[in-house]
Amino acid sequence: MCPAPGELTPDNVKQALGLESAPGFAPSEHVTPRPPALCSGCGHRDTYDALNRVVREYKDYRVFSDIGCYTLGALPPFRAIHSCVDMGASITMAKGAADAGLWPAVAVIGDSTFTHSGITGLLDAVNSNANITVVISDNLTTAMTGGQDSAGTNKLEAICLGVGVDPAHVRVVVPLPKNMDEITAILREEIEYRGVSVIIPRRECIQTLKRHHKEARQNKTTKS
Amino acid sequence: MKLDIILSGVGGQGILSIAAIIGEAALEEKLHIKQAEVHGMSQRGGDVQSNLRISSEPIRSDLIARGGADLILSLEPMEALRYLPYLSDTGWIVTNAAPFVNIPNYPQVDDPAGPTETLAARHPARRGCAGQREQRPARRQCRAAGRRVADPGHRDRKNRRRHPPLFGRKGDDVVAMNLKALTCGREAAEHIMRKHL
Repeated sequence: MCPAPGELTPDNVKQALGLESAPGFAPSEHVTPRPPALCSGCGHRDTYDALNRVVREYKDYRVFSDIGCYTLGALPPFRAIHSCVDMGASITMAKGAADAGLWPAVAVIGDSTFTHSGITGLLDAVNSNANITVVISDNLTTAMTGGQDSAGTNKLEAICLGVGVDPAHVRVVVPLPKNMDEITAILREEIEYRGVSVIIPRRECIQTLKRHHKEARQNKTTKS
Repeated sequence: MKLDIILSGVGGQGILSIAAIIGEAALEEKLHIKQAEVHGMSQRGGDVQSNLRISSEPIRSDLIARGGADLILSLEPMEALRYLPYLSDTGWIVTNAAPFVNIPNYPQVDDPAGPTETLAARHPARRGCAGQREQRPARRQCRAAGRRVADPGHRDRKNRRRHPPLFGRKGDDVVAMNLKALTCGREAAEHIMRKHL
């Protein structure tokens, strides 16, 4: 039998078909795990710092997340999120949990994933006035795949208002350590608000920022 | 002709760029290729690998079985060893010797190339090739790719023509640096092949 979890590989398919696998070399004793990590200076870090401070004040909370760099918030040191299923599932799972009585139910989704498949879930949450807090961590790019443009750049607030989120509960913050008090206060306020609220921590991806600075320097050199 | 390659390294070092260089070179030679998606996180410092299969015949699986890789081409010594169970009995490891230490428990080895050298000594059929230790990442990456370009099936002229568009966006100096590294890599590979094959 092929194992139910994980991917099909030539080795587990061979085993399922009763074919012999080459033994290969034994694993080396010199290898240790090397998990990926959020970049130093990344805005998601400050967002998770703030979110962890606030949600841990509550007894029963869940943070549903999505697919992007910010999924790395599942790993130490943050351990900030409880789920990652498919693109857009952060908002719909938070809604489902809230419908079942969970509070606080928080969704964390990136700007690019939000425009890919988060908007429909948000509309659904608004229509049924679900008691959820949605964090759209906006780094102005599709960072995980190399910094391509993000379809919702400069449109996120308008999209949220367009699907019907109360304008008083669409809040934009700048995720930097110096703003920690402000961000945590806003997160607390919006978790306490009974309804759909959206918080948008917005700061450019540190990788695209470096690239843009380099391009600006090159353009300056070319002109001079 | 069939060649199964595992490209390995740390996210951000350029594994997929290498896969693209070799893959395009193979396509120009009218060969079949399959390249499996990276299993890791691009640019985030995690372990990253790519399965690259090249053949004169159609390829079915895009993954390499245990004991099936002809070559582990690595930008980092510990990452080369991570895929050891996939190396065939007659396979080669070609790795950069400079460790990329971004984890607190990186193995304490006096000589970072030591484990691959030990392996080479234990199994004379394969020999670790220590790369230049002081090279910048982009040059290391192309140096490694250049070693593959030295395969008689891949003509340098074609790769030179192919090469600039890949890094063109990053500026002429980066293209020139990569072409230079590609040539150095090719020379290093020819030296190794003359010595060992």
